[in-house]
Amino acid sequence: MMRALVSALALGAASPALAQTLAITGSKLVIGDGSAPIENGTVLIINGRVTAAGKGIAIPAGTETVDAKGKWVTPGLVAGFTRVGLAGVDAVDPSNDTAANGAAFQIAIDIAPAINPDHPAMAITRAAGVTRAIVSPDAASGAIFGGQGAVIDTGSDADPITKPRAFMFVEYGESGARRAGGSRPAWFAGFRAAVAEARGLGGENPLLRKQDAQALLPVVNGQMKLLVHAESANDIRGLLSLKREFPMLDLVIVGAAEGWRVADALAAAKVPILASALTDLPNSFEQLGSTQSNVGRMKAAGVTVGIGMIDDEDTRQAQYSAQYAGNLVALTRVPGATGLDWNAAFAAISSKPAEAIGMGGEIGSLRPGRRGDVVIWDGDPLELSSAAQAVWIDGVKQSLSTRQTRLRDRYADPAAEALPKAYVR
Amino acid sequence: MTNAVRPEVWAEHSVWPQDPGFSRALANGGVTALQILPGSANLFGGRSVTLKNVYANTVQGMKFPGAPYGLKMACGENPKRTYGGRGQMPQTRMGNMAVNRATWIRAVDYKRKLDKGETVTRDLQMETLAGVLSGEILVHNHCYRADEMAQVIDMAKEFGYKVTAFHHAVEAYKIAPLLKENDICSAMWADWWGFKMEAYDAINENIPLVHKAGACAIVHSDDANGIQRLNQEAAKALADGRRVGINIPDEVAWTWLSFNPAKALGIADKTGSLKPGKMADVVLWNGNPLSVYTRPEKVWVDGALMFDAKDPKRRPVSDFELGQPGEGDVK
Repeated sequence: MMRALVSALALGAASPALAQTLAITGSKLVIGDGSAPIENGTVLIINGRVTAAGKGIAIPAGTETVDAKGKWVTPGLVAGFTRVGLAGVDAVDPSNDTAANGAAFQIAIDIAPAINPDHPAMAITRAAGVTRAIVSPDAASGAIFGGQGAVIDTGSDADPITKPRAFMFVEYGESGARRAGGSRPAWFAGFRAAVAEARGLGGENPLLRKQDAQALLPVVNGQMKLLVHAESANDIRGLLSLKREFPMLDLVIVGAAEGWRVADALAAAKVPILASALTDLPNSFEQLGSTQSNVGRMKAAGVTVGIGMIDDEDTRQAQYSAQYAGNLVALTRVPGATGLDWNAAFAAISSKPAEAIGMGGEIGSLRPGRRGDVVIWDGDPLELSSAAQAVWIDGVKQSLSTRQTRLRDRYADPAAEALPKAYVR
Repeated sequence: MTNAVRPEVWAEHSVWPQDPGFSRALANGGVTALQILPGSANLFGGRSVTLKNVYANTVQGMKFPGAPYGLKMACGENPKRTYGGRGQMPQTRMGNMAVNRATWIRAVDYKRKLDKGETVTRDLQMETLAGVLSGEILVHNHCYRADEMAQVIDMAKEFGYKVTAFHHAVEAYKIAPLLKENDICSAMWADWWGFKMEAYDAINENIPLVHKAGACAIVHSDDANGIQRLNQEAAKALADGRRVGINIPDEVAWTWLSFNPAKALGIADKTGSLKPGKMADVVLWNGNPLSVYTRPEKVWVDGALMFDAKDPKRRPVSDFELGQPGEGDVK
């Protein structure tokens, strides 16, 4: 994104489409950091970054101003765990880069080049007000390591990568045990061996290719986040013990259906969670204790929790972020349930996933210095009847047109016309 | 997935009455009746069953009294892929239609013998299909693409049966007047799309566009999670419609998850609205049920209070979950 902007500005092409300096005024303004909405707020973006947001913000003379009276203005949503941009159509293998079952490599896999801004999921996600996403590879069938994921923007330009190689993804739990050969102890043995090989301490018959071992070194040194998928309380405890064994690991747990059962331990270990918000069925033996109160209970215990969507239509449906967050607010009105208040629920789809991935200073809120990712909504962004009306990414106004809106417009009137529908554009 | 023609199987023989999903559909979704269908790998999938959402030790104890059976059929990619991958019929969409029509020819012949009073050896496949031809069993046809739905409509006319509902019907908006003309319901998602090629042209306004054309629109789930949020799916579709000028009142949109599905299940004379004489299947919501912030507070089935958010003793916990972590605390 930034590269395109810089070249455009160098050419002096400061067209309105590329305006990076603007003020959006008069709205119900949500900062995204868990604070309450501000009535009649203004957000000021200069050179693609937020410089100020709140009440009574001074707007420099000559700044393009957008009146958002009666609207809600928020930071762009951050989808906490997705595979957006990795598949055109999931079931069409050549268009699907989520996993590489026949690959010689696992850890060395870097998904950044595969992220395709032309996949329809990118525009559909953007049109739902989701401007950034944590995008993970999936592990191949015989591997526990999926490879290196990225943080992306959902903009319509040619450069979707915000941060390449932002983290390493690993499958643990039932899926990881199966990949490791059939048991959790086998997974631990494999993980420890991989760490040793990354440190150059492997034996004569290494498990990893040299490129995989090298790619793991930043994880072992704590320079790269380690995102591990686990669901059960016992598996989460296992990962916390792994972190005690290797204190340098910068661990983030993904899924965590039973996180509520170990919430205090997670809080004490300061391990953030990218949780599946509404998982409430015992779909597997590692998810027996699933409950919609999971996120609320972890938050109440002091855990940093963002909403993620692992294995939940994760190539396409990041547009559910707001609905999921809204459902957690609904729980606050259900006796015996634990949800999130509105401000915390919004943070769970903006600043919290950003913080979990270590990018809270860049994205996920409208605090000064953050990227100019802003959405104008026609109502409460968590409510089902609301929609994004305008989206900026890095201060650049985005198109909200998608394949879906084009098809809708073509078929809005079913009556036969002079020419077949194929001519209606 | 052993043969593309399996009308002899009945979903009720596979229903697990202790499935924890029933409690979630009740407590989070306010679902009081539901149809359970066989999968879509086969052209003829078998009989569906309609249940009351009340736990019982047996599926017999859950069956909706007087509900007709349905026949699950499937178009498109699933049967084509399942059998084509093995080099078997039907390998293509034209193979789908050829196997379908050959099967209906047998069924018409079987029914003719029955109607004449001839002695026939009982044939479970043909019994179900003869039930369709006589109108006692309702056809629920999994079908995504508009062109395929039109092919199925022609086939139904060829053999003299009626399609009650197309399921998924992601391209129903392209042929909504045809669906109205043939009195066929479409059971749709609000915004599922793109997981396979035949779902590529899904649009968020499918439900309101079908409704606007005067055809029968249904919000369905086909999913253990989606069934907990049918009200939310309807709300999204309603809002998406209004944004393009399709102004459907809230109470009319509610038919998408009450009266219209009851009609497609053949039980609209018994449930699906609050008219005098109908079963007392009622949900008390703690707010506007088209809001994301709203949940069921109480759910009655046949007038019996089966869920009460304020009374833990009125929250069902299946045998499977008893004594397990969380004990089915769905909230």
